[in-house]
Amino acid sequence: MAKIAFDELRFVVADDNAHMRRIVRTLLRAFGSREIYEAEDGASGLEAVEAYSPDILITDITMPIFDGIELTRMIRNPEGCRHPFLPIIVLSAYSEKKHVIAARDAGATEFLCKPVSATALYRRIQNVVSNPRDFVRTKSYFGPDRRRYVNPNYSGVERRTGAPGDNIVDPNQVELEA
Amino acid sequence: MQQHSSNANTAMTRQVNKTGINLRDKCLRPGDDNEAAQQAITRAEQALEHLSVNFDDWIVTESRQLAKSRDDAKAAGFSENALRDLFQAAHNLKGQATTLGYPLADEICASLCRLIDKIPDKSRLPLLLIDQHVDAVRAVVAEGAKGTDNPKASVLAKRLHDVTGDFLAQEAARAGAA
Repeated sequence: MAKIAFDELRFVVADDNAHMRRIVRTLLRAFGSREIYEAEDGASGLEAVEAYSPDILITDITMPIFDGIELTRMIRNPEGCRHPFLPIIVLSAYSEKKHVIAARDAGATEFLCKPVSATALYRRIQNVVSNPRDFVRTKSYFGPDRRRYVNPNYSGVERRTGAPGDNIVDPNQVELEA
Repeated sequence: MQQHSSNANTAMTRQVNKTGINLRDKCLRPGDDNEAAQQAITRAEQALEHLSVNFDDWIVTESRQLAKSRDDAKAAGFSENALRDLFQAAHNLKGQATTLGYPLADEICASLCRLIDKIPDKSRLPLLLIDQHVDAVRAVVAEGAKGTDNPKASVLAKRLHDVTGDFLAQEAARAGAA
Protein backbone atom coordinates (compact mmCIF):
# COMPACT_ATOMS: atom_id res chain seq x y z
CA MET A 1 0.00 0.00 0.00
CA ALA A 2 1.06 3.60 -0.48
CA LYS A 3 -0.08 6.92 0.87
CA ILE A 4 -0.83 10.05 -1.09
CA ALA A 5 1.56 13.00 -0.80
CA PHE A 6 -1.06 15.71 -1.09
CA ASP A 7 1.61 18.40 -0.96
CA GLU A 8 2.64 17.25 -4.43
CA LEU A 9 -0.86 17.71 -5.85
CA ARG A 10 -2.09 20.92 -7.43
CA PHE A 11 -5.85 21.51 -7.61
CA VAL A 12 -8.22 23.84 -9.41
CA VAL A 13 -11.65 24.15 -7.78
CA ALA A 14 -14.36 25.60 -10.03
CA ASP A 15 -17.64 26.52 -8.34
CA ASP A 16 -19.73 29.65 -8.61
CA ASN A 17 -20.53 29.56 -4.91
CA ALA A 18 -17.83 31.12 -2.74
CA HIS A 19 -18.92 29.22 0.36
CA MET A 20 -18.63 25.88 -1.41
CA ARG A 21 -15.18 26.81 -2.75
CA ARG A 22 -14.11 27.67 0.78
CA ILE A 23 -15.39 24.33 2.08
CA VAL A 24 -13.59 22.33 -0.61
CA ARG A 25 -10.41 24.37 -0.14
CA THR A 26 -10.56 23.71 3.61
CA LEU A 27 -10.85 19.97 3.04
CA LEU A 28 -8.00 19.90 0.52
CA ARG A 29 -5.71 21.93 2.76
CA ALA A 30 -6.46 19.61 5.66
CA PHE A 31 -5.56 16.66 3.44
CA GLY A 32 -2.19 18.33 2.96
CA SER A 33 -2.49 20.13 -0.36
CA ARG A 34 -0.85 23.54 -0.59
CA GLU A 35 -1.60 24.57 -4.16
CA ILE A 36 -5.30 25.19 -4.64
CA TYR A 37 -6.57 27.64 -7.23
CA GLU A 38 -10.18 28.76 -7.44
CA ALA A 39 -12.45 29.68 -10.33
CA GLU A 40 -15.99 31.02 -10.12
CA ASP A 41 -17.30 30.06 -13.55
CA GLY A 42 -16.56 27.73 -16.42
CA ALA A 43 -14.51 30.23 -18.39
CA SER A 44 -12.22 31.10 -15.52
CA GLY A 45 -12.03 27.40 -14.73
CA LEU A 46 -10.64 26.73 -18.19
CA GLU A 47 -8.23 29.65 -17.84
CA ALA A 48 -7.05 28.33 -14.49
CA VAL A 49 -6.44 24.89 -15.97
CA GLU A 50 -4.35 26.41 -18.74
CA ALA A 51 -2.51 28.77 -16.40
CA TYR A 52 -1.76 26.46 -13.48
CA SER A 53 -1.63 22.99 -15.07
CA PRO A 54 -3.32 21.33 -12.11
CA ASP A 55 -3.10 17.63 -11.33
CA ILE A 56 -6.81 17.43 -10.55
CA LEU A 57 -9.79 19.64 -11.39
CA ILE A 58 -12.80 19.65 -9.08
CA THR A 59 -15.78 21.30 -10.75
CA ASP A 60 -19.41 22.07 -10.03
CA ILE A 61 -21.91 21.55 -12.84
CA THR A 62 -24.11 24.64 -12.62
CA MET A 63 -21.96 27.69 -13.25
CA PRO A 64 -22.25 30.93 -15.26
CA ILE A 65 -20.80 31.44 -18.76
CA PHE A 66 -20.42 27.73 -19.34
CA ASP A 67 -21.13 24.93 -16.97
CA GLY A 68 -19.04 22.09 -15.62
CA ILE A 69 -20.18 19.67 -18.31
CA GLU A 70 -19.10 22.07 -21.05
CA LEU A 71 -15.86 22.76 -19.19
CA THR A 72 -15.16 19.03 -19.09
CA ARG A 73 -15.86 18.71 -22.82
CA MET A 74 -13.53 21.59 -23.61
CA ILE A 75 -10.72 20.10 -21.56
CA ARG A 76 -11.15 16.73 -23.23
CA ASN A 77 -10.86 18.36 -26.64
CA PRO A 78 -7.13 18.22 -27.40
CA GLU A 79 -7.53 20.99 -29.96
CA GLY A 80 -8.95 23.30 -27.32
CA CYS A 81 -6.93 22.47 -24.23
CA ARG A 82 -3.39 21.42 -23.46
CA HIS A 83 -4.46 19.07 -20.67
CA PRO A 84 -6.90 16.56 -22.17
CA PHE A 85 -5.86 13.84 -19.71
CA LEU A 86 -6.54 15.97 -16.64
CA PRO A 87 -8.45 14.00 -13.98
CA ILE A 88 -11.79 15.75 -13.44
CA ILE A 89 -13.97 15.24 -10.37
CA VAL A 90 -17.47 16.61 -10.87
CA LEU A 91 -18.91 17.78 -7.56
CA SER A 92 -22.59 18.64 -7.88
CA ALA A 93 -25.88 18.87 -6.06
CA TYR A 94 -27.39 17.10 -9.07
CA SER A 95 -27.83 13.50 -8.14
CA GLU A 96 -30.20 12.34 -10.88
CA LYS A 97 -28.91 9.66 -13.20
CA LYS A 98 -29.17 11.87 -16.29
CA HIS A 99 -26.67 14.32 -14.83
CA VAL A 100 -24.25 11.58 -13.83
CA ILE A 101 -24.45 10.17 -17.35
CA ALA A 102 -23.98 13.62 -18.90
CA ALA A 103 -20.85 14.14 -16.81
CA ARG A 104 -19.53 10.70 -17.67
CA ASP A 105 -20.18 11.18 -21.38
CA ALA A 106 -18.43 14.54 -21.33
CA GLY A 107 -15.33 12.81 -19.99
CA ALA A 108 -15.51 13.26 -16.22
CA THR A 109 -13.26 10.94 -14.25
CA GLU A 110 -15.32 10.82 -11.05
CA PHE A 111 -18.71 12.11 -9.89
CA LEU A 112 -19.38 13.21 -6.34
CA CYS A 113 -22.76 14.38 -5.05
CA LYS A 114 -23.14 17.28 -2.65
CA PRO A 115 -23.28 17.52 0.30
CA VAL A 116 -19.56 16.88 0.21
CA SER A 117 -17.91 14.98 3.04
CA ALA A 118 -14.24 14.64 3.89
CA THR A 119 -14.40 10.88 3.43
CA ALA A 120 -16.13 10.96 0.06
CA LEU A 121 -13.80 13.61 -1.36
CA TYR A 122 -10.71 11.78 -0.10
CA ARG A 123 -11.90 8.50 -1.64
CA ARG A 124 -12.50 10.11 -5.03
CA ILE A 125 -9.03 11.66 -5.02
CA GLN A 126 -7.53 8.39 -3.86
CA ASN A 127 -9.26 6.63 -6.74
CA VAL A 128 -7.96 9.16 -9.25
CA VAL A 129 -4.40 8.78 -7.97
CA SER A 130 -4.21 5.08 -7.16
CA ASN A 131 -6.54 3.58 -9.76
CA PRO A 132 -6.22 5.72 -12.86
CA ARG A 133 -8.50 4.76 -15.68
CA ASP A 134 -7.33 4.08 -19.19
CA PHE A 135 -8.30 6.63 -21.79
CA VAL A 136 -10.19 5.69 -24.91
CA ARG A 137 -10.91 7.52 -28.10
CA THR A 138 -13.87 6.93 -30.39
CA LYS A 139 -15.36 9.02 -33.14
CA SER A 140 -17.52 10.83 -30.62
CA TYR A 141 -15.67 10.52 -27.33
CA PHE A 142 -12.28 11.06 -25.83
CA GLY A 143 -11.81 10.51 -22.14
CA PRO A 144 -11.52 7.97 -19.35
CA ASP A 145 -12.82 4.54 -20.23
CA ARG A 146 -16.45 4.61 -19.12
CA ARG A 147 -16.36 0.92 -18.32
CA ARG A 148 -15.34 0.00 -14.81
CA TYR A 149 -15.34 -3.71 -15.53
CA VAL A 150 -13.34 -5.41 -18.23
CA ASN A 151 -14.88 -8.56 -19.61
CA PRO A 152 -12.10 -10.47 -21.40
CA ASN A 153 -14.69 -12.55 -23.23
CA TYR A 154 -16.57 -9.59 -24.70
CA SER A 155 -16.37 -9.63 -28.47
CA GLY A 156 -18.99 -7.06 -29.50
CA VAL A 157 -18.52 -3.99 -31.63
CA GLU A 158 -17.49 -1.83 -28.68
CA ARG A 159 -14.60 -4.01 -27.60
CA ARG A 160 -11.35 -2.19 -26.95
CA THR A 161 -8.55 -2.41 -29.48
CA GLY A 162 -4.89 -1.56 -29.21
CA ALA A 163 -2.45 -2.77 -26.63
CA PRO A 164 -3.48 -2.11 -23.04
CA GLY A 165 -0.97 0.21 -21.47
CA ASP A 166 0.08 1.93 -24.67
CA ASN A 167 1.50 5.15 -23.36
CA ILE A 168 0.53 7.74 -25.90
CA VAL A 169 0.60 11.08 -24.17
CA ASP A 170 -0.77 13.20 -26.99
CA PRO A 171 -4.22 12.01 -28.05
CA ASN A 172 -3.69 13.69 -31.41
CA GLN A 173 -1.09 11.05 -32.12
CA VAL A 174 -3.74 8.36 -32.03
CA GLU A 175 -5.08 7.72 -35.46
CA LEU A 176 -8.46 6.12 -35.98
CA GLU A 177 -8.84 3.97 -39.01
CA ALA A 178 -11.35 5.20 -41.53
CA MET B 1 -6.27 -1.90 -35.68
CA GLN B 2 -9.67 -3.45 -36.04
CA GLN B 3 -12.57 -1.88 -37.76
CA HIS B 4 -16.19 -2.58 -36.88
CA SER B 5 -19.00 -1.77 -39.23
CA SER B 6 -22.26 -2.39 -37.44
CA ASN B 7 -22.37 0.73 -35.26
CA ALA B 8 -20.90 3.96 -36.56
CA ASN B 9 -21.01 5.76 -33.22
CA THR B 10 -19.37 3.18 -31.08
CA ALA B 11 -17.11 1.33 -33.46
CA MET B 12 -13.34 1.70 -33.30
CA THR B 13 -12.98 2.29 -29.59
CA ARG B 14 -9.28 2.63 -29.11
CA GLN B 15 -7.54 2.31 -25.79
CA VAL B 16 -4.98 5.03 -26.10
CA ASN B 17 -3.00 5.05 -22.92
CA LYS B 18 -2.87 4.31 -19.26
CA THR B 19 -3.73 7.84 -18.15
CA GLY B 20 -1.42 10.37 -19.74
CA ILE B 21 -0.74 11.90 -16.32
CA ASN B 22 1.01 9.57 -13.95
CA LEU B 23 -0.06 10.74 -10.52
CA ARG B 24 1.07 7.48 -8.97
CA ASP B 25 4.72 8.29 -9.61
CA LYS B 26 4.21 11.91 -8.67
CA CYS B 27 2.52 11.57 -5.31
CA LEU B 28 2.31 8.01 -4.02
CA ARG B 29 4.78 7.37 -1.22
CA PRO B 30 5.57 4.26 0.80
CA GLY B 31 3.40 4.05 3.88
CA ASP B 32 0.20 2.77 5.38
CA ASP B 33 -2.55 3.99 3.07
CA ASN B 34 -5.40 3.28 5.48
CA GLU B 35 -3.75 5.01 8.39
CA ALA B 36 -2.80 8.02 6.26
CA ALA B 37 -6.32 8.23 4.88
CA GLN B 38 -7.89 8.10 8.31
CA GLN B 39 -5.55 10.79 9.61
CA ALA B 40 -6.23 13.05 6.62
CA ILE B 41 -9.99 12.58 6.90
CA THR B 42 -9.93 13.29 10.63
CA ARG B 43 -7.89 16.45 10.03
CA ALA B 44 -10.37 17.54 7.36
CA GLU B 45 -13.37 16.94 9.60
CA GLN B 46 -11.69 18.96 12.36
CA ALA B 47 -10.94 21.75 9.87
CA LEU B 48 -14.60 21.79 8.83
CA GLU B 49 -15.56 21.96 12.48
CA HIS B 50 -13.37 25.04 12.87
CA LEU B 51 -14.86 26.54 9.73
CA SER B 52 -18.38 25.90 10.99
CA VAL B 53 -18.34 29.05 13.14
CA ASN B 54 -19.16 30.79 9.85
CA PHE B 55 -21.95 28.44 8.79
CA ASP B 56 -24.86 30.25 10.43
CA ASP B 57 -23.88 33.48 8.69
CA TRP B 58 -23.44 31.66 5.40
CA ILE B 59 -26.84 29.99 5.51
CA VAL B 60 -28.48 33.34 6.28
CA THR B 61 -26.72 34.86 3.26
CA GLU B 62 -27.83 31.99 1.02
CA SER B 63 -31.42 32.05 2.24
CA ARG B 64 -31.56 35.80 1.64
CA GLN B 65 -30.26 35.22 -1.87
CA LEU B 66 -33.02 32.66 -2.39
CA ALA B 67 -35.66 35.13 -1.21
CA LYS B 68 -34.21 37.86 -3.43
CA SER B 69 -34.26 35.54 -6.44
CA ARG B 70 -37.88 34.73 -5.67
CA ASP B 71 -38.73 38.46 -5.46
CA ASP B 72 -36.83 39.18 -8.68
CA ALA B 73 -38.59 36.31 -10.43
CA LYS B 74 -41.97 37.66 -9.35
CA ALA B 75 -41.06 41.16 -10.54
CA ALA B 76 -39.95 39.75 -13.88
CA GLY B 77 -43.16 37.75 -14.31
CA PHE B 78 -41.21 34.51 -13.91
CA SER B 79 -39.31 35.04 -17.13
CA GLU B 80 -37.03 32.27 -18.28
CA ASN B 81 -33.89 34.03 -17.00
CA ALA B 82 -35.46 34.93 -13.66
CA LEU B 83 -36.71 31.39 -13.20
CA ARG B 84 -33.25 30.05 -13.99
CA ASP B 85 -31.76 32.36 -11.34
CA LEU B 86 -34.34 31.20 -8.79
CA PHE B 87 -33.58 27.56 -9.59
CA GLN B 88 -29.86 28.30 -9.30
CA ALA B 89 -30.29 29.91 -5.86
CA ALA B 90 -32.34 26.95 -4.64
CA HIS B 91 -29.86 24.51 -6.15
CA ASN B 92 -26.91 26.28 -4.52
CA LEU B 93 -28.60 26.07 -1.15
CA LYS B 94 -29.54 22.44 -1.74
CA GLY B 95 -25.88 21.66 -2.36
CA GLN B 96 -24.55 23.16 0.84
CA ALA B 97 -27.37 23.36 3.41
CA THR B 98 -26.56 19.93 4.85
CA THR B 99 -22.87 20.77 5.13
CA LEU B 100 -23.85 24.01 6.87
CA GLY B 101 -25.91 22.02 9.37
CA TYR B 102 -29.41 22.49 7.93
CA PRO B 103 -30.46 19.28 6.18
CA LEU B 104 -34.15 20.22 6.31
CA ALA B 105 -33.40 23.37 4.32
CA ASP B 106 -31.63 21.05 1.87
CA GLU B 107 -34.81 18.94 1.59
CA ILE B 108 -37.04 21.96 1.05
CA CYS B 109 -34.73 23.35 -1.63
CA ALA B 110 -34.65 19.95 -3.32
CA SER B 111 -38.44 20.06 -3.45
CA LEU B 112 -38.40 23.58 -4.90
CA CYS B 113 -35.84 22.56 -7.54
CA ARG B 114 -38.00 19.59 -8.45
CA LEU B 115 -41.06 21.82 -8.78
CA ILE B 116 -39.31 24.26 -11.12
CA ASP B 117 -37.50 21.60 -13.11
CA LYS B 118 -40.24 19.03 -13.57
CA ILE B 119 -43.38 21.04 -14.20
CA PRO B 120 -44.33 20.45 -17.85
CA ASP B 121 -45.69 23.96 -18.42
CA LYS B 122 -43.63 26.67 -16.68
CA SER B 123 -46.47 29.17 -17.06
CA ARG B 124 -48.47 27.07 -14.63
CA LEU B 125 -45.92 27.30 -11.80
CA PRO B 126 -47.90 27.84 -8.58
CA LEU B 127 -46.68 31.08 -7.04
CA LEU B 128 -48.12 30.22 -3.65
CA LEU B 129 -46.22 26.94 -3.51
CA ILE B 130 -42.99 28.67 -4.52
CA ASP B 131 -43.55 31.23 -1.77
CA GLN B 132 -44.21 28.49 0.74
CA HIS B 133 -40.91 26.79 -0.09
CA VAL B 134 -38.87 29.99 0.13
CA ASP B 135 -40.57 31.11 3.33
CA ALA B 136 -40.10 27.66 4.84
CA VAL B 137 -36.34 27.81 4.19
CA ARG B 138 -36.17 31.23 5.81
CA ALA B 139 -38.17 29.97 8.78
CA VAL B 140 -35.91 26.94 9.23
CA VAL B 141 -32.87 29.20 9.21
CA ALA B 142 -34.47 31.85 11.44
CA GLU B 143 -35.49 29.20 13.96
CA GLY B 144 -32.01 27.68 13.90
CA ALA B 145 -33.58 24.34 13.07
CA LYS B 146 -30.35 22.38 12.62
CA GLY B 147 -30.24 18.65 12.06
CA THR B 148 -33.43 16.72 11.41
CA ASP B 149 -34.86 16.75 14.93
CA ASN B 150 -36.97 19.89 14.85
CA PRO B 151 -40.52 18.49 14.71
CA LYS B 152 -42.19 21.52 13.11
CA ALA B 153 -39.48 21.91 10.48
CA SER B 154 -39.57 18.18 9.71
CA VAL B 155 -43.34 18.22 9.20
CA LEU B 156 -43.05 21.34 7.07
CA ALA B 157 -40.38 19.82 4.83
CA LYS B 158 -42.32 16.58 4.40
CA ARG B 159 -45.59 18.41 3.70
CA LEU B 160 -43.96 20.55 1.01
CA HIS B 161 -42.39 17.46 -0.53
CA ASP B 162 -45.75 15.66 -0.62
CA VAL B 163 -47.77 18.60 -1.92
CA THR B 164 -45.18 19.21 -4.64
CA GLY B 165 -45.28 15.55 -5.62
CA ASP B 166 -49.07 15.57 -5.84
CA PHE B 167 -49.08 18.80 -7.81
CA LEU B 168 -46.48 17.55 -10.30
CA ALA B 169 -48.42 14.32 -10.77
CA GLN B 170 -51.56 16.32 -11.57
CA GLU B 171 -49.68 18.52 -13.99
CA ALA B 172 -48.11 15.54 -15.72
CA ALA B 173 -51.55 13.94 -16.10
CA ARG B 174 -52.94 17.21 -17.42
CA ALA B 175 -50.10 17.56 -19.92
CA GLY B 176 -50.58 13.95 -20.99
CA ALA B 177 -54.29 14.45 -21.54
CA ALA B 178 -53.79 17.62 -23.58
